[in-house]
Amino acid sequence: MDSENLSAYLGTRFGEPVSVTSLKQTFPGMSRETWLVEIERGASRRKEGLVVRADPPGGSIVPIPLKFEWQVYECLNRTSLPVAQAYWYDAAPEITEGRPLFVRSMVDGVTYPPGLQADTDEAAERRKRVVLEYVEKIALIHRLDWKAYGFGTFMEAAAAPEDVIEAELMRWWRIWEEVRTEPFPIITEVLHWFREHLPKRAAAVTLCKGQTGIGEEIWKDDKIVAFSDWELAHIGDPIQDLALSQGMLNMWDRSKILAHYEACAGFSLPLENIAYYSVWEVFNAMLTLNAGLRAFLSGKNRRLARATLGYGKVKVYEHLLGSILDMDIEEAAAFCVKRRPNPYHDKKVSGG
Amino acid sequence: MKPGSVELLERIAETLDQTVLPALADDKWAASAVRSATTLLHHLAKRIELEAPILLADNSDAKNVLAGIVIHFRADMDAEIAGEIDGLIGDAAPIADYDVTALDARNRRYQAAMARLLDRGAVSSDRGSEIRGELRAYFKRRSERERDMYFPSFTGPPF
Repeated sequence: MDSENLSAYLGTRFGEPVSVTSLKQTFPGMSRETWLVEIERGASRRKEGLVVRADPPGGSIVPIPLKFEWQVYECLNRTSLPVAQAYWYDAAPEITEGRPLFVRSMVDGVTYPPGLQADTDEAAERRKRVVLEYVEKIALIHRLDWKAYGFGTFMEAAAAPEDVIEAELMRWWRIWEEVRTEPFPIITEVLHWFREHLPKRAAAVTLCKGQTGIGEEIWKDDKIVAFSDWELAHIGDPIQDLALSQGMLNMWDRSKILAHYEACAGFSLPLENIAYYSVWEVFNAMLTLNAGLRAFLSGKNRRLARATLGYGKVKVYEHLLGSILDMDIEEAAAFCVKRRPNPYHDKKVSGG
Repeated sequence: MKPGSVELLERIAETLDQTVLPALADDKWAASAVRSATTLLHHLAKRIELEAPILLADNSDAKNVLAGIVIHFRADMDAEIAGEIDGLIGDAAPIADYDVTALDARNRRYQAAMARLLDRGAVSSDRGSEIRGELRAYFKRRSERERDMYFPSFTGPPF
């Protein structure tokens, strides 16, 4: 993507002259390309920030179409949740050589609030503020009337809290069978293990963001000003968002964090579900990374990280998951949390 | 006297890590590519020595496990899968010890048969746990066998 062609493309779509003044691709961009674009628009050359999100060559490592994330944004823009304004989805534009993209507004802020990891009393107090802000905002997502806003028209949704976790398991089981690059019988057995260790019920049936916390949202002055990256959004158990929150639950007193969340969300949390999702996260990461290997094997995406992650890191995760087969859910969760680094970054989240 | 393949791969990785990577401090995309290359070179240095013996041992183990399952549980298995496994374990075509591609292809067929055995509904439920027990024991042996090909090569930074 280059500034000149992007200026022409954006000008056509906006129906007025556009000049790209800055164009940067965010790193590492493994799931999708994210381009931060600053433009001057119209006769008055008013300044504006945009984000162009596009499939990489050979497709995303996340086996969910970009159009799905676009649909999520369309629905979110009808709500009062803090999200960027989505402008348009383009299924096959020339600017990306036919790869789908969508364009949304840029929100001023950062994904990693600086200084949060410092070993000082001030930083500890900040961590408390940040995590309380996080649970208050994530509870807004979980309290949303997702049916009224149309999420149910394109997301699979089990009706009852007793069914929703198994429905999620079976959905990803089917996806795994479609995208895996090897037979991986160990993982088939791991999927049986999940089925035998399903929590009895979800806390509720809600819109879930799918990946949350530090590194996933836009922060400014220790407030979440926008939730971003909705490609793994789904209707499910809200505890999953808390369990897969990049260490947010370790940033302060865990029981107080959860109590504050319960007060904000209006329902209680079956805590054993957190252990289940701590193991589930490893499978989900493995599936995604292995799905990304397909484009490397076909030659459509030659980025070496596709191989180190989709082949090598997947073998590490396969070994990790193979080790839990004789464990109960709590033991397996402790085992996974201790041994598994975040696949997307190696930053240690302060406090845990 | 000439340098061995493993030594060459390790020296290339060392050069990338110690000479090239520090010069790329201002280019995170290039630095990431070098880190990925180094990771893969460390893996290859292990793989070229370990892969063939691991595949030989694993194919022998997997074949025995599948043969034992068919002998003991045929009546409880989906007939089509039992027939597939019969075909697999009856394939006695010799493969040269150094032919990693052919050894890997055979291993993949064994793994696929095991995945099918574990698929939902492939085995009657009352005997399914026994088959799964046999397979779980094999999975542990397999993981231990191949561990050095992936650890610690792939446990470093992801990008």
